[in-house]
Amino acid sequence: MRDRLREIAPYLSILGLILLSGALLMRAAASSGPNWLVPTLAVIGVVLLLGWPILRWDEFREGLGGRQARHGTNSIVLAVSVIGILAVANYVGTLWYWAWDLTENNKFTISRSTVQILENLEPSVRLVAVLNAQESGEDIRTLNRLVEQYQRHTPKVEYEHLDPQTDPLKLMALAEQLTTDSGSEVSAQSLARTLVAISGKKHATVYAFDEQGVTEAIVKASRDRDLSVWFTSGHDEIPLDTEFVSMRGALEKQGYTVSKHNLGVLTETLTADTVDAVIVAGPRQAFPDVEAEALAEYIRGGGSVLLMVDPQLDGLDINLGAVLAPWDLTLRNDVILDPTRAFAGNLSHIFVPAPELRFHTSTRDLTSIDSVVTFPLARSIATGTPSTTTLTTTSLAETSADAWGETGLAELSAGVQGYRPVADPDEPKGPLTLALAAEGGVDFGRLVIYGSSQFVTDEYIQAVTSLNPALFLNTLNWLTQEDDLITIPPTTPGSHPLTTPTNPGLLMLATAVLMPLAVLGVGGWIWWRRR
Amino acid sequence: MSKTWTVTRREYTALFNSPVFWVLAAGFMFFVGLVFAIYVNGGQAEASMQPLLSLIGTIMLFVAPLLSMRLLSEEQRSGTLEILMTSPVHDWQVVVGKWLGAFLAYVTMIAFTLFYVGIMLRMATSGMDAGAMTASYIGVLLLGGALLAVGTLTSSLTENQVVAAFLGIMAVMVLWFLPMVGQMSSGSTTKFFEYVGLSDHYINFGEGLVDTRDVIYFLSVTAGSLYLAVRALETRRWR
Repeated sequence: MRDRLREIAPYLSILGLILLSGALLMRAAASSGPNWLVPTLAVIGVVLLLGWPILRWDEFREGLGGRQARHGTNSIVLAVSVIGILAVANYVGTLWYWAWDLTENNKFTISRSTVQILENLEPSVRLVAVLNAQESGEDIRTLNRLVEQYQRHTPKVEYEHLDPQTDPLKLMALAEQLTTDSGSEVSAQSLARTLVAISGKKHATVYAFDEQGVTEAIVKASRDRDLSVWFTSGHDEIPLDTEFVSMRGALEKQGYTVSKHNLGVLTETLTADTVDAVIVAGPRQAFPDVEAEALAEYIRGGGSVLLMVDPQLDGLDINLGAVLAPWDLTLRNDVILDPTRAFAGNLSHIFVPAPELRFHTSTRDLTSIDSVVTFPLARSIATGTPSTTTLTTTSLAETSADAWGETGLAELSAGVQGYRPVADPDEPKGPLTLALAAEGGVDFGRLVIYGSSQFVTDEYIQAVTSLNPALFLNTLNWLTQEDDLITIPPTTPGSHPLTTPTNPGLLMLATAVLMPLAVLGVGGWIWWRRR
Repeated sequence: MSKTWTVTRREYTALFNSPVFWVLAAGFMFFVGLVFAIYVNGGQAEASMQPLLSLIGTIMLFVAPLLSMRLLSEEQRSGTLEILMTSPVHDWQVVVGKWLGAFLAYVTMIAFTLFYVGIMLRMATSGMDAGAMTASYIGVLLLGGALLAVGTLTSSLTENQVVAAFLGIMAVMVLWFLPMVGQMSSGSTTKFFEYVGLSDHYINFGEGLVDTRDVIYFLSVTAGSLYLAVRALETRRWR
């Protein structure tokens, strides 16, 4: 019996090893079998594994003390040590690392405005990405990279990834926490494929996993108050719901509540506590005196106004003089024509290179971009002497010196064939102001005027690629004193289109046949030469 | 160092004179050329080598073990390994020299793809993103070095080239797909498997990022595999 056991001892040990491995695998897989199965298999496995050393102890002892065992043990120890050193080196490498973004548009480098937001971040923000690892691998990778950069600039951003499939309990706990904190129902299902930013009892949810989405979520969650913007109505303004959809969406993404209001039917006085900013977008009817005065009073009380007023070819006065009066500003009744900066050859369609925008908080991040701001039809703004020294104006965009403000509006609008406008001596000459920012110190509001409203309509933004949306958003953020949100456009991937090959068949022949044959030919020649 | 370089030169020359290398290279060029032609003929394609280089990384999972299968196993089979080991050359010089020879052959194969870069530059209307392409090529070279090192290790374990190639392919497949194993668990286990796997580190290069963590990873796999190969060779002295 003993001899038989000695004979089969190696096989007993191998069987023991298999049983022990199976027990460990079952334990790792957390199978739903009976509780006694895994420990029983493990114990039997260990007992059988010891069969060889116990039943053939003399051979085992001789082997352990032998030359091969000593050298083998030495090799194993050295190999494990080296692998351990490499593992430690990799671990240290994850703590201190550098990454170089070699893409031409710095696709993986966060913008200066995001860095500023992070460095000024006051409350801690916890980011929770709810993404399925199998379906959203690329989004998870993008987020991991982004958050690593964010955390380099501030320790106040924490990040966690929840997979709805593997972390259902944590997801439910998150939904319950958000429901309790916000006072409104938040279900676990509604959090699928979202990024939630939580700061104290406030939270913000976004569905984009790029820099704009993550930064937006952080700003919205950490902001201590909600901002509102009103678009005026009742003066034939550009329709907010049909022609300003893009800009409305962009404002809402930055956390603004956007709505339309007729100042003529307000039941309460318009003050800085009522709304953070009022936008007048392309009115084609004059403002009644009472409404203009309400806007002026609103600014004097700390409110902020954005005026976008197009040239009126019929000579209509929009009657916003009361708003402009503190700064002695005038909206000239002209159409700017600029032969030097005529976009696509159209004298009244003016472009301003971004580097030539005037320095201001709202333009500083745009001046380094190789792009333009364009105005399809604009009137000039005349500056005078403000009523007090605390009231200041800053030009944002100007024409070239060759421009002039054409006042012959009747001829322009008639479109007489062969009519070529020429600068008259009494017409204003360039450089003319296309956009201007005005402020008045403590407790006084802010004003931004554009001599055009068409430059940010949906149709125009789609037709012309420019920095117009960024400039619009920046000026509004300046008006509401949300300087943290002064943005630069999201980095777009460089476009390097390929021309269609004139002879696709020849290209296929060259790359898939001739080139490999050439390689084979070289190999064949080398082999033949060596024969 | 000169002894290592002598072994390298000898190995590189042997590979160049071997039909295996040229058949592999021709097959590689055929496959890559075919995909390249389909890509540029597809219409609205971008002048970017990244899709192609990403594919090349996947192809190399099979090509690199085939390139390295004979490095040490052939020496064992033909009995020349004993001669090599009794000559005044350290084991590590033999291993590193052979790996370096195979790596130079790999670089030669990758250099053939510059032909496609030239075609793309001619066809591009506004140039190419040189930075992203550089990062992709760095990734291809680091990946190749690591895969060849794993192949050198498996080659040191057996005198049968086919077994060495098979073991090499299996080993790199396991390393490549480890992140998927990590997705079945959560927390630190997932992070561990994601880090140890090859694919996530390679993807970063393909997108234009050069991260020191990825560089350290590939260099560690290379150094670790070559060290284990040296240890495997050493066992022959006392087995």
